Amino acid sequence: MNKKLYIILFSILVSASAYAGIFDIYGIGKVGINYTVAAQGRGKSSVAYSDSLSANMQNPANIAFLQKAGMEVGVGTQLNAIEGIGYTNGYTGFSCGLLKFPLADKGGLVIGMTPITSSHASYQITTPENTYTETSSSEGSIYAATAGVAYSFFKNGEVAVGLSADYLVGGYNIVHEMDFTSKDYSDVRIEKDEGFNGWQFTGGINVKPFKFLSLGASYTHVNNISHRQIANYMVGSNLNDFYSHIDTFEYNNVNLLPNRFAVGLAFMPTARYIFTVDWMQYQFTTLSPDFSFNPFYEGSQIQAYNHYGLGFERKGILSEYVPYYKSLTYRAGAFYEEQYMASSSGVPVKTYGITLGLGLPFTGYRNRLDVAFVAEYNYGTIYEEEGIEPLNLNEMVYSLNFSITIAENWFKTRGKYR
Amino acid sequence: MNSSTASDITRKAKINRQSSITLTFFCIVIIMIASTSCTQGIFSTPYGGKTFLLDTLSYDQSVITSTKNLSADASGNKLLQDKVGKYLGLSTEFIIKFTNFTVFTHLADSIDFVMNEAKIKFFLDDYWGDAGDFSIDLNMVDPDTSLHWLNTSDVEKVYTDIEGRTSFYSSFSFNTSDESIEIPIDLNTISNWYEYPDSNTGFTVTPSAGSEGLIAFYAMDHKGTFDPRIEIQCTLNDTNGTYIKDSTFSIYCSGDLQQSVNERVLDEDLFYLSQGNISRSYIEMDSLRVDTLLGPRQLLNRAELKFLMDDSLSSIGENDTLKIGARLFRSDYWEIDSLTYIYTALSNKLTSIEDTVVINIVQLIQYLVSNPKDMEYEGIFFYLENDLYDFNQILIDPDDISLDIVYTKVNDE
Repeated sequence: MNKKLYIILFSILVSASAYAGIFDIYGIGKVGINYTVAAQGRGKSSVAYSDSLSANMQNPANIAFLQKAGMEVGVGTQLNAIEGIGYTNGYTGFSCGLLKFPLADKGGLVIGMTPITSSHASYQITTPENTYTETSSSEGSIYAATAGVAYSFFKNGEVAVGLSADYLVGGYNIVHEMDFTSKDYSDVRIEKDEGFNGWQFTGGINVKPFKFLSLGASYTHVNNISHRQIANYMVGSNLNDFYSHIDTFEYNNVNLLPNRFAVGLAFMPTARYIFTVDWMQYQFTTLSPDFSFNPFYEGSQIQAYNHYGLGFERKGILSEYVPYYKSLTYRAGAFYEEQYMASSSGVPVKTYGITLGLGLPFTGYRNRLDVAFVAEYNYGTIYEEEGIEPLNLNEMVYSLNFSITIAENWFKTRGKYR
Repeated sequence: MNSSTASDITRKAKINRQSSITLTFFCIVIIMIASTSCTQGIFSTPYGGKTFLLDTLSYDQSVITSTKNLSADASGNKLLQDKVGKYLGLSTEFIIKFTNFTVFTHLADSIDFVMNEAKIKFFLDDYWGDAGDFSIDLNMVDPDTSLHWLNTSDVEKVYTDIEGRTSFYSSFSFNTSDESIEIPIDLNTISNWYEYPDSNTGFTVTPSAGSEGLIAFYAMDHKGTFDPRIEIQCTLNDTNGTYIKDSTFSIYCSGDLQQSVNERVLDEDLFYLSQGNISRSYIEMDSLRVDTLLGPRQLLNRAELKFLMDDSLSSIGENDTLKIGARLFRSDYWEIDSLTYIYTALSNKLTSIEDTVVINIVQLIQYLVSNPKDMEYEGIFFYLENDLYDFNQILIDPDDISLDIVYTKVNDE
């Protein structure tokens, strides 16, 4: 791969993460986004299965099945459309970047950056008398700088275990603005930079009791997250603020992310057909006090986040003796999620999604371009207040995600150079 | 086709496919970025979890903890006008001298001159008071070299030095509607000034007893065609005494200083603003500093200070676009120090004493309430802005003052 390609990939890496949607406005935004593009194509299910090229962010045990060293970089783009509003937030940016190395015959190592949370949303309140508008926006992400290692046992890797340590780093830029219609009044703005860092550790296991069946489970323990807040209170227009007051706070051991538990099943009736089922849960229930940095609306509840994914993959035939289209990998899936934000009556924001995916091998099947299209339908209450009808929104989020998985000569460690 | 050719074709096909896929990948990324960058809409609704809470505070005159009127010294040099007279508590006079006789020294040696008549000429610029007759006195300063003065800024010293060292010379009456006046002066005095420059210490111009009002002449620093001058009518002869012609020479002013005394006694409970007799008013609002409702995290949207002018003692001219300016002063000894100030807020344009004065002093109040409470030597001072032509004065009764604040605070704080 030439230098230009590396430069382009690096420039993509430095942009922020993906996923845009109005429901991201509260708390830490969207969670459950650390999937490879291949897993996204399978209905965001990968606890019990991943192929030999992709890294696996849901279950580190699957890293053991890596067969080629290389790198994987993903980008994504999202458009959302709210019923009655139209397209609002759109976003394109980096989603993940990973380096992968097989270890011995039955092990694997992955290091890189993967997204954990993401928020790109704006919400504007207009006063009935139109004297001023209040706009809040939340922009930011938390990433995991991850290092995972795994090893499989027995002849065909019937049991694999893996561990990953993630250093969490990132934050949000949360801006609240009040803009008056009349120039006689000074606009005000509070801009808060919320920085977080901490650790999480994930252990995973993959068991294949039968050749056609794989079971996976992983558990993530979040540990010792610290929070630094810089709040700038400002008065005046954007170009000519005449007053600024800055507060800085630091907090330790905040509960930004709960522990996570995931289980999955992969059914492989033949070597080329894979059916996957996942369930993943974040126990957000106890975290509400620590979301004061970007609070939910009054009366809302915080519940456990649940993700249910169902996927299918038809692997391509990697042979020079078949037409190219037969070497493509086709994926499809569906998922259902209960987001952690819920109405006062306990009804969570619900997400229904369908996915389609494609894997295009190139350069002697060592490399692959993965594409996943995800269409999400989000429905839920975004605001409630006594005396008004709950503000329920229907939102469609369309995302198109790409990743390029490369195993160039530099990464060739098995065989020729070993 | 041999095996080598087939292998080459396959390899080229792979390379082409790789190039196509890589190119497609990045083209799609660029298209994705372009497409999402076009979506700039924002979700908007009348309802939502508000971060801000808008609130108001209203204060009456009790917000003012102290007031102070300060008259700035209107004395000085390099002024555009030399004022003489008394008006609205301002008493002024000026001292002036003419030392530049180079028009005579530059005459050719073959020419003699004989002074026939000399007049001091002043051009009138403005007048405040009841129009009509006005009279001034000229008082010669003793011809003592110790009383020499330069065009100095230390007016007080000059006037202290000449105190009791002047003698009445002449009075001159004129009408305030005159464009200029010409005051006769004795030729011997002019000759002495010319021949013995050390004796030229100038003269003072004071209002004659009984003169009402304030007259303003163009001063030396006006730098126009109306400089004060002495016009001397001479006859020019040659060295044999043969008449050549009559000629008038102008000796322009070489120095002038104005001394002003504020004789007005002001009620400390009132604000008084004027420019001719320079007055500024100061108020302190220490109660705002300890107001627990306001602090650095309360963001002020508007702070509207309103007051009414006292129509019995206020006057606003027609020629000025008059406004009242407010500034935040910062000085430990602001009564005697030069002012250090920050922020400036201007009122609405004032055209009549019936107008309500409204000044949005939001920046000033934000600073006052957001900074350490021990900075007690801070307050707001008021002055007249754009007071260029008229002798405006404004009197404000603090009892009619109100301060209405609109501010924003964070909902849960």
